[in-house]
Amino acid sequence: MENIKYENFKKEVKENYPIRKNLTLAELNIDFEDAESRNGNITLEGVKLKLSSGAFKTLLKTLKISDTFMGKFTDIFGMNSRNQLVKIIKHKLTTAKDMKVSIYVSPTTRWVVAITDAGKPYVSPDFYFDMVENVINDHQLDVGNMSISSEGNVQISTIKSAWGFDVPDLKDEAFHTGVIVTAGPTEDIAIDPYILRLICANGMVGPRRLEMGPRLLSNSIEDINKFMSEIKGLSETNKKFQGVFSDQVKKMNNISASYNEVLKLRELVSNRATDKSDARVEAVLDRFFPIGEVKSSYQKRGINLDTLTNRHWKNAKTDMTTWELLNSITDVASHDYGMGIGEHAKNDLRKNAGLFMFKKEFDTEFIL
Amino acid sequence: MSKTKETAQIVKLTDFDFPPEVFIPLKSGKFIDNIISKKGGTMPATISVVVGEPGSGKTTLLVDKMAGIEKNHPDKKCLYISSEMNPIDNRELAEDLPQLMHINTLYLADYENPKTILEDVLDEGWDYVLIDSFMDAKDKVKDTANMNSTTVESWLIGLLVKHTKAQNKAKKYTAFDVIQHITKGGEYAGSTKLKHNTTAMMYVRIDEMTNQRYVVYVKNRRGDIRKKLYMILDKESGELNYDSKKYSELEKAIDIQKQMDTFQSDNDAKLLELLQNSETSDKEIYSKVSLVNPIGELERVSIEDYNKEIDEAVERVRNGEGIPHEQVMEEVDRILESED
Repeated sequence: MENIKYENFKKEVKENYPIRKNLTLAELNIDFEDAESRNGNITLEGVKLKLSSGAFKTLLKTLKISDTFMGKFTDIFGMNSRNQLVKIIKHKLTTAKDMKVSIYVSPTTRWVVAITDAGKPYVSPDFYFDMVENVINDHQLDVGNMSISSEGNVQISTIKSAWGFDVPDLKDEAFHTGVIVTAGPTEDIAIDPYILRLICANGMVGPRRLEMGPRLLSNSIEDINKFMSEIKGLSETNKKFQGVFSDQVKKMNNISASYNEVLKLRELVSNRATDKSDARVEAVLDRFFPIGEVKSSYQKRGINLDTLTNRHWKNAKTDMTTWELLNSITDVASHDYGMGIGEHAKNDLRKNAGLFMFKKEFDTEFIL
Repeated sequence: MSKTKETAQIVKLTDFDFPPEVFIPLKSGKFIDNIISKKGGTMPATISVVVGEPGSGKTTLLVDKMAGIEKNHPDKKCLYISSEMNPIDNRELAEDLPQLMHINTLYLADYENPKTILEDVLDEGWDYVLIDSFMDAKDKVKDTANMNSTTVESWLIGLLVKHTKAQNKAKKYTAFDVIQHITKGGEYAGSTKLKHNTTAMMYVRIDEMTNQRYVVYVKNRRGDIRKKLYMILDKESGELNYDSKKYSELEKAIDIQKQMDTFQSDNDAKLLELLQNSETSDKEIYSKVSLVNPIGELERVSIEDYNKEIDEAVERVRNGEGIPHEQVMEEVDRILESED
């Protein structure tokens, strides 16, 4: 472990870790009167606190309003209507039940950076780092990436070379596994499997859907106890994950990626690139997600993919296997190709890679 | 009959002269001693109520504990008052719980005047007394002494309190464990009077997930509450074994929960401080926003962009694009329904 880097990160987290306050929904005093605050304000003890866009999104989630609906609604009716809708729903929920929420305030900016249900457990940075250090020491892990997001979510990935394995029947492929430890306002307090493809040092996070890693679901004694005892079984969890992972790699190596899948993953990466106008971004995207090539290959056969719908794109096989496509996303998530993707966003991509790898069904899986 | 007027006495602890044995626990030598009191055992001059469903293991637990106390303190006098069971019932029970064979037992059902018997026997002076059960003993006295329920209860509680103050021939500061029944809902069924006169209240419960029995204190003036101690009866030896490992794990979980609670209180104080010192101008705040940008992506839209958006929204309203109330309400209803 690079001690200085780790200690600096620890300091950075402690300085920026959001302060949580529990309130009833009725006490959550939101207004959209301040023209400078696009996402509204919350008044606490007579002080107005601005909501970040992330906080606004989490507010919608807490009020059970879907992102997609709100996006469309705002497009059609504008910001004022959006704000009015939020207030109406908040009022309705307040009168319907005594719901408790937590707001998270950045100590450095004084902005509200997230809003969640009050039932979500929240641990201190000290607890988080103790947990990380215990896991590292107990299993002799090496620290990989470390990041804190604007919402105050913290994550540290680790790798253990002794937890290495290869996939039978697949030449030149070897992997190391480890864990990624997360915590924060909108992130689970969890220790998920983390996998590193040695051939090009691509990292990927085991998807939550597999429910492999221990996670703290509430602050009840039962859940805390379950979480702590599951941490003790991390080695077994990792072995289990290796088996599931190997089987999936073999399967993906025989399934072509669809045009839809290539396009979706390209968008996923593109949305996280900060400087989209940079020509390098497009070049990198073309290298890893060659939609142009796919389109021209279909064009040669007289099919214009642009005129077709998403349903057809799902049936359109490409020359890439789903395994190659997965490696494309893990590659850009693990290396700096000058696209300005932040460390936290990269980890988000690694998570999405895990989700893609273990999606219920690949588009062309059952197409002959 | 008029009562004698009581005179109030203002005292200091220095006015009392308690013998040292009042503060020495009666140890059963079992792990349960650790949760009974911080000193590690049953404290003299206390009344503890033990609550649990029939068959949960209250009698087994307390008889095992009493046998342990007798073994560890051969000089101490212990008594089991069995109100519900007769000797034949207990003989059969002793096949699984052999400790029952050798403990001093008073079978209350054998007497025509249980009230006098209780008064006389307790007056001898005992170090530890187990009453099984409070409700049944109370009913037996009520049925034979021509007293109403409330009067019997006051008398019985008064009797126990009297002996915790060593008002008996042997001047023993008796420690009582009293078994009490529960309601159908699984809660304590006794009066608040008994509840208030107790040092501790312990529940014996069965874990629905594991079907394993555990004890937990909901009130304990001498020890910790909320800590579950799981137990297993070894049918071969009749010994009760406690899961000390699981207990330590739960203890750790409780500590973590406390840490989380403390963290929240610290957060409340920190936020208050932040709000009170919120003189910082917005300009300064914005400069800090840009400072944290490298580690995050705190989104901030420029005033120009925002004003443009406002202007566009105003324009839309001018063009007659108001809020279709029905559509908004439909969506609100949908969200609330999905919530249900």
